[in-house]
Amino acid sequence: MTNDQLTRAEAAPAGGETLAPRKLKTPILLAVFTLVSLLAFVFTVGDQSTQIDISNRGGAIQLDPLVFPTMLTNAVLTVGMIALTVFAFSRSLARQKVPMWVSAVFAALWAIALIIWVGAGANVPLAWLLTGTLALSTPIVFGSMAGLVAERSGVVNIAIEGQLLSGAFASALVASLTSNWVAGLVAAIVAGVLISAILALFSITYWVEQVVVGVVINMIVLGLTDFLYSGLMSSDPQRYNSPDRYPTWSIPGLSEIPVLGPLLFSNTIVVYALFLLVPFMVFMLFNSKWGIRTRAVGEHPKAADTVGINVNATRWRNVLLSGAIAGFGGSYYTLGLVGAFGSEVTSGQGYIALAALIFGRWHPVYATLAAILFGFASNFRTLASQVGADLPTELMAMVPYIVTVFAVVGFVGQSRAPAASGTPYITQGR
Amino acid sequence: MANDAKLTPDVDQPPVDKVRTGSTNALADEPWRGVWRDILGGSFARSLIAIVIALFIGLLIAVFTDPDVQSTLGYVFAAPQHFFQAAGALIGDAVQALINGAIYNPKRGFLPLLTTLQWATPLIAAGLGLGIAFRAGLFNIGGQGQLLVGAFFAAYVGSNWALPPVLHLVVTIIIAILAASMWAAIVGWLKAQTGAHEVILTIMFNWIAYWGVTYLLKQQPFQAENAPGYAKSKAILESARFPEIAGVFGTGIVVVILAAVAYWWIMDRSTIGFQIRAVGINPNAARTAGINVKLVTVLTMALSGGFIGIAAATQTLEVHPTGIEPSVDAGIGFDAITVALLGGNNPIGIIFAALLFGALKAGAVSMEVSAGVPKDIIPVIQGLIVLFVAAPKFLGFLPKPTGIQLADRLSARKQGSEA
Repeated sequence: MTNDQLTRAEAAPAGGETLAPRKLKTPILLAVFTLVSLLAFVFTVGDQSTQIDISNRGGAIQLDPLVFPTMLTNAVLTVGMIALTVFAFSRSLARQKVPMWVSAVFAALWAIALIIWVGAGANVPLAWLLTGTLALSTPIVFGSMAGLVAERSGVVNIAIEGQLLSGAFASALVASLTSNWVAGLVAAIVAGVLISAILALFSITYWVEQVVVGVVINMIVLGLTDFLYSGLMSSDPQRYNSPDRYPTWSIPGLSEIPVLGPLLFSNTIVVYALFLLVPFMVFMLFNSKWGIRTRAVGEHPKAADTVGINVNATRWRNVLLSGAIAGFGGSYYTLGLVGAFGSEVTSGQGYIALAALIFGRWHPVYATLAAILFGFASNFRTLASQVGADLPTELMAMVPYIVTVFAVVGFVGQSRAPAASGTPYITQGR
Repeated sequence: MANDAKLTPDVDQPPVDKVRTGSTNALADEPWRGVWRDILGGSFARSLIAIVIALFIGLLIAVFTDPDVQSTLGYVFAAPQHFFQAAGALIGDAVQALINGAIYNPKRGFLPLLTTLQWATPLIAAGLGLGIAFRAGLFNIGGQGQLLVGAFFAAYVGSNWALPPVLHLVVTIIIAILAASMWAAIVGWLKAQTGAHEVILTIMFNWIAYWGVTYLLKQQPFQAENAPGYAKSKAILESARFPEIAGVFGTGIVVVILAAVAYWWIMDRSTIGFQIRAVGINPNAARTAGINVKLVTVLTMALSGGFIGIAAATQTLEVHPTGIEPSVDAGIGFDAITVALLGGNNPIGIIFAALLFGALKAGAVSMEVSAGVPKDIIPVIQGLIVLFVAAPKFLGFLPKPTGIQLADRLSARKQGSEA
């Protein structure tokens, strides 16, 4: 109901000039999280300390773990959160936008406080925590980028889940048959593109409601992979489902650096590709001809058409590219993480990637950060049970989704999709 | 057919005959002209053709992955008849098994129809729920979570409250509807207040419901006796179960048919239904006309969740009376999306679509057993059906309907004979 009052206030000119309503959602949300941090992370701990292990597991360089007094450290972190909250309030009250970095830094501080709190009286293996987070976020980031490429050109991509799953399946099958991970990689990309072709055909050429096509594609891919898995793969797993996994390439020397070494310099091809993909995507989207055309087609297709851009061809290309990205990312489930295909190996993470994309306001960097947040959340669940924190795993599992709801409602609010996203481009008289 | 949430946009195309003849008077001279076009190009024929094509593609996939057929592929050019024999035998077996499992079986007569009905029951209810959201332009992917929450409350009330037989059943159903409805209404409220995207919210609420219900099912007083550490509810008391007639006919379908009638009344006769449709067609125009769009959003989600709550009740009180697990949803929340789409968001269409998918599910079991085709092919066929039905341009070879109603033809003929 407050919103109604706000709109009324907006409509009524105050002193001859209209003032925009103050948007207090973000600062209020930050205040709530600060309060949680203060009450839970600071006041519930006694005279304990948290030990952070910064050595690499089995690495040549072994360092002494860092020991933090839990309460004091979290008190300092919470002071930082209070400062950010006050800053956000001052901006909002002055009718200015709260910059995105405030939320990002706040989230980081909050996450660190959470780790320190859970690890009170225990040992937190930092290298393991971060590499695990990276591993779990990798396919989500690929999925988000796939969604971004399609949605920026005006095609809603709910089919990320199906694209990821098709990549995971095809790479496992082909890498097993050929005993060659390169062939598996290529197969994943081809599978992703083929699935995307269905999305493109029905949503761009046949004008079917795009969300519907996406949901149906997910259903079809899940059914098809399950069908082939139970009918074909399970009949002879040795032949069909024991793929060559992606090799881990360690850069000599650099990979020995504590924490950062295993995180950045000892990875598979997919993770290295990820490091390149995100900056490349930022550059391409905002500086290249392709990026400008993509965004034009996604925001105002008629204008783009007027200046001679072929709207539907651009969308077709982008949707196919989206499938290639997601297919590649999907291969990480089978050739990177698990080493075999299983029924619904993606377990709904395509939808999480979609959430990360919207959460990240259709921007490559923010979408990636959101994806990493999800990866961290699922890895944190494992940490919590490892350090013996007395928290039910089911409730820990809920946390990332609840945080997303808060974030979508508070930080993002009316997150604006590319204007033409979801509407087919139909020229009259054709 | 009222169908507000269109799957494909309309492109203005004048009725074919009006273009050809330049005037509608031609109708009086030749009232039956072009009627074959209406029959072949009408939505019924289109749906039927889409179903046949989808079935064929699905079975073709099965053919090429079948080991017997694959072995004949090795010498397909030397002796193609072997390949066609093997492929034909497999398709024939699969179709026969589908029919045996879903419609008619020489040993059991028409009893398999009841299995189909049982599969269709929750699909109808959940499909109605999805349909109401679609009509308002809302995409409710949260069927899974809403069903889980409804089922959880139904299981609690059904197993822990002591009430007289019929009353207990009614109360439990109402609680399931209210619970699912509230869970969905939260999403509607959040969307109305903040403009957050309902697709994200419902996906997140699915997971929150899943983990929350899993957690609660392991706690007292919800957990089943003798199942430590296992997420399963207590068995539903006899007084809260749907009575079965002759041990085969579940009565949940009766409630669901009543729900379909209620859906028709809400959408076509009530004020809120009118407002929902108005918001679905153009929210800005609806707002200008004085409709409280935010309130309608919340109410639409609540109604949508309410219908899904009925599916939760039949799943709990009829299908899983010995206690629910977090898997009680069984994919109904997502299947219902396709049911609503295929059914064109109107109650009769949704019932037929649910019956079709129910038949496919019922037949799939026997297809897997007797023809050796894994039942996972069914979602593929289901998805293809929706795609083909949703894309009129896909079946572009079919003639375009004339756009002249049967009633107009008949009246034209009457006028023609009078003149």
